[in-house]
Amino acid sequence: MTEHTPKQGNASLTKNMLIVNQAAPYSKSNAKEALDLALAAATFDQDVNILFTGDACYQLLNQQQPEYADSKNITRMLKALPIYGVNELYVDSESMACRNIDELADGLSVKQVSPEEIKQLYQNADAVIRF
Amino acid sequence: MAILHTLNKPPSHAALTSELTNALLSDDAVLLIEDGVYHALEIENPENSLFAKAAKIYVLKDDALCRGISTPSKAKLVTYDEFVKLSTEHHKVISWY
Repeated sequence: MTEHTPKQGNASLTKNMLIVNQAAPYSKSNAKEALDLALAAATFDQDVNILFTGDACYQLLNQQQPEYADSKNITRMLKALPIYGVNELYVDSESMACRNIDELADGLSVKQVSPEEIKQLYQNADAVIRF
Repeated sequence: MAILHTLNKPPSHAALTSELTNALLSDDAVLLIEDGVYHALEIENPENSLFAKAAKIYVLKDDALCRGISTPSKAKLVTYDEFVKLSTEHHKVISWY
């Protein structure tokens, strides 16, 4: 009979989590909910990476003024993510290109990734949650 | 008589955009609201047939500013009050969603 020895330390409790955003902000609550999950997971020491693809690229636009819709500013919250220990933000470069988006919000550190790199992100994660 | 079409979905909703484009007559106006304002990013695209066909293009101010969309020269930013006025000035309003 083999004995299962539990791993020591916190290593086994940490998962590499990929949160994939594909919705535009404001009309639906997807963006906000994804952010809530990212913050919660990072607070509990998970390795969190976030990918923006499809219409979620619109979450990264500059000069959003959500006061006009009584909403919270998504980009301001995204800029605060590194403080909470969220790792990398990635954006799908093809999604950006087909939406004519050249520049993203100031002060936001996001890496552009190709479809091949996106495949790797999905492969490397222990858990993937799409919003 | 001119129709006012409102569109509240972004360009990724290709089928909806096609249907609207096909329904447009030469006098018609298109008003972009909610996520529809994201179409403004593609107005200058020469391949874009939606805006080539519409006589007038309007963008709802609050929705555009909220999303960080600046109004291109081919379109006009309108307030809610102006939206109401536009509705009275057109034969009917069709909502595309």
